[in-house]
Amino acid sequence: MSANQILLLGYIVLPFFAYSLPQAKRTGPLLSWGSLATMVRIFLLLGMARTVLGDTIAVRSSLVQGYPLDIVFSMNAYRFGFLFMAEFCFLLAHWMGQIEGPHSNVIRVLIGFGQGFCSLLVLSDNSVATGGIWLLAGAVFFYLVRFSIPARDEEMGAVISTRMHVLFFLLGLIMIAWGIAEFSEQSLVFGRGTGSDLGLVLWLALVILAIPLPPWSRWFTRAVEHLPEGVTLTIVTFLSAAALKVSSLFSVAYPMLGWKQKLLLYVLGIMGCCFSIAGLLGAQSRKRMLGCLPSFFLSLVLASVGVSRGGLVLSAYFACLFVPVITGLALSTTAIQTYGTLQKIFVGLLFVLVLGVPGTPVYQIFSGIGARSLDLGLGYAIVFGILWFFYFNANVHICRRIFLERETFPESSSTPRFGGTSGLYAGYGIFMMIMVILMSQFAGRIL
Amino acid sequence: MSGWAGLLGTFLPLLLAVVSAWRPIRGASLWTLSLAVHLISWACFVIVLLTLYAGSSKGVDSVLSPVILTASQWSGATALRWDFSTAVFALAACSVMVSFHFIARELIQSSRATAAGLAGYLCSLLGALGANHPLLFCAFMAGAVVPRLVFTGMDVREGKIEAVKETAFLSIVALLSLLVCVLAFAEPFQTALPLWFKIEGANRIVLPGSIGIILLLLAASISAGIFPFHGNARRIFQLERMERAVPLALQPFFGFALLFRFGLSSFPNEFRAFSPHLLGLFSVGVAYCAVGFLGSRSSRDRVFWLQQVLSCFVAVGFFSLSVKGWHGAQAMLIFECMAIPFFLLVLACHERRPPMPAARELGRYPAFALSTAMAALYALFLPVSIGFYGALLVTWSLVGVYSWPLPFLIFSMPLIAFAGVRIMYFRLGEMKSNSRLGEMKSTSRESIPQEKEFTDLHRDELVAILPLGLTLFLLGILPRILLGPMGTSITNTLKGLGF
Repeated sequence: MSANQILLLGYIVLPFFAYSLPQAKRTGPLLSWGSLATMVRIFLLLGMARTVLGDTIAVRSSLVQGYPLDIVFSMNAYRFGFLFMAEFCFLLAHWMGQIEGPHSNVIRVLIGFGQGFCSLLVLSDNSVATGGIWLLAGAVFFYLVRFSIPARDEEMGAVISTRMHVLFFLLGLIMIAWGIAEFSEQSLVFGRGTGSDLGLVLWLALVILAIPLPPWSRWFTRAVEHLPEGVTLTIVTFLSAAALKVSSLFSVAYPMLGWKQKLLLYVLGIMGCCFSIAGLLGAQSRKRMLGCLPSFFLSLVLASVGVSRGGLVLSAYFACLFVPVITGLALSTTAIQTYGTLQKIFVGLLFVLVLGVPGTPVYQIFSGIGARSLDLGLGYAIVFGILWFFYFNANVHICRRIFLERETFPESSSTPRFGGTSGLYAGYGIFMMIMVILMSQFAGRIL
Repeated sequence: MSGWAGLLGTFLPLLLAVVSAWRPIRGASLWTLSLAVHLISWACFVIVLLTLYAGSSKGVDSVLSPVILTASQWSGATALRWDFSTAVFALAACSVMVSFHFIARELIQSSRATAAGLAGYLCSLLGALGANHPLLFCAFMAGAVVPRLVFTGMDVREGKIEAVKETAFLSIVALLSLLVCVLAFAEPFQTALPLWFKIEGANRIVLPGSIGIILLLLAASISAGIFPFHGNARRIFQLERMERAVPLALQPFFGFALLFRFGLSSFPNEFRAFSPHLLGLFSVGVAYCAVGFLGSRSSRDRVFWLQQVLSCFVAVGFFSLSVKGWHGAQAMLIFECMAIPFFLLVLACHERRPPMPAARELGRYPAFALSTAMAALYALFLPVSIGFYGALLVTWSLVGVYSWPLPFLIFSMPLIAFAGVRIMYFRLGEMKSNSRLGEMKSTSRESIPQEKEFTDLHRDELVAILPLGLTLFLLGILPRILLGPMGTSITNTLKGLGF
């Protein structure tokens, strides 16, 4: 086993073992085991950075001898970029997830498990292992929602957790069935699809179900609105990883997808975007309004796949890279109450980022989709123009709500307010914004 | 040495059944002795399994006991013989029995019949698993009838004695059916019987084989308590004390061991002809039982229907007649015979306690919450259990060969996911007054020792639950330690039978 493989293995198992160590009584959120494990994982990723730029690091283990049930986890530049940014988001999630209450320890552990399964999902190359990870993640998120929802929202928690569990269970099953239908001759490792009708239908179902698409995915907007910030960020990061997985599988299995299937995905994606913007404009609370942003960008993943020409869908990649970061930043915005200089810089930079100034991920997402829309004809170009126009208007609306309206938070809210540490969160937010811009620039050049 | 260990492990519990009748041994000493005997049995099968595990790379595929149990001119020398799969089954059975001792300490201490019945049942089960001839299997199966009736009869609820009679009747039907099948189709009438049915001028005799397979399947399905003969299997979920059902949950081993060990070797052609139809029947059974699992209104009902789902999966895997299907089926059988007792143990702990507090309060009872969460993970066949690999291999074995039953299996999965939500909500121990099976009348509930306040699991409960739960978890994350040698054993068996 090479040093890089050891680093990768350490990276994979760390979140699952970090919690077996005894937690010191008086460690703050910055030094909890979850935060420390995440920091170590970031360093482990940095250790692998040089190799993954030109090569792939893989670890493989056989589950059952005689059958193609090997677990294969591989790291390449594409996955590295996403996971590197995801780790920063998980660090924020660990900090935000320090909720006081009877289940605070369970929540910390479950956030760690969610983090572990997120990286496993991205790294996995075998359909059975990927499906299994999805099945397990369903149980983890079920309990995460159940334990973290405030008592007053018990019913809401039941709805959200049940939907998540059943959805992830179905996704896991579909992934396994898709693998058996398409890759049973290739050891169930993802590769070029055989083009069977069943496989194609299963893949479309997988893509459509994996992305929380408005108006059917009300559970997702409710989760963003009602769950504590750390939990929400964990869920959104996992969903981004799932979206990244299915969109990257498109380029592996079906680079020459038919126009009808692409049109279906495009229409669903645009519809999801429209509903997200409508939700954003009609939102009554700041948190609900900002919660519509992840839905919008995740819907754009479908639109990106719908207009793609084959090969790697970079717009989808940038969207998946950006969603956890923007969610973390948006959630910080809702929680930060004190407005000092650092906080003002944070909010200002956030809107520069969200508006899509050239060089930012949003610009890269829209320019990718826009360029392909122009290629595809007038209809696509008009739809894209309208979409961008509405997105721009939505941002103006967000600015107005954030800067001009002061919203008070209910005293009974269980979510943390960063009164004392808002400077730290604002500083970290600025750091994350710079990182995501740098990462998207690197990704645009390398991938 | 391993042959002696297997023999000792099989017959030592029988000695306990005899000793337990001796008056001075009672109470705590009876419990200790019983536990020691069961632990020795367990250790013996660990030795057998380790021998087979070590020998799998050297081509050793079975361990033969050094003592011939019966010898006749038509049955030949019969003895106990364990391959990797049967050794695993035997070890699983011993593990369940050891766990049972901790959950039912008071029961064993206060009832010698229970201790004797438990030991007799284990001896019969281990003997049946090791039998290398169907006649020997019959003898052990007959030996299990009485201990089973003791277990069912001693704790059956008031007015439910009909259930015991029904169980006795069905057990005898199964036994007779198997005996007729063995005598007529194995020995000594094997050569004479076809002549009786031969039609003049006919060159093909179909009738005897068809009768034989029907008799065998009848015996197997009644013994396993599987759909569509599942009515009687429900009786064990009507016992007053849930812990008494734990040893009885091993009953499917009898039926499926019969099929795996002697079914295909006795009637290979008939199985080739009948299997596609039976495969369809049990695929429908999986969906039907999954609907039952979803619709069940009490915790006992849920465990019962889950057991039926698992049994149907085992049957589908068996009738696929492929290495993959058999592999999955045997993995599923081990899972069934460990996960269902695990469920029953957890359920017994739930039923000893007052109604559960709200889910958000469960943080104060970590062992209780964790055991229920583990039960939920196993119920959903998630990849932390060997059931996941069993279900996967069984389903996979049908792809491209028998595609039409696949929708039934696929349809059942979301139903299981939905049904599992109730278990995940920590509602395993919830009692509904209007349920048919799980109904616990106030009078009967009073007889169960209950805690005044809700408490976490006791030491005995933990010792009962933890080993089974951890074993299932370990097998779930490292399935190759079990499925690897098992696959070799199955491949050799099927290759030897020409499949």
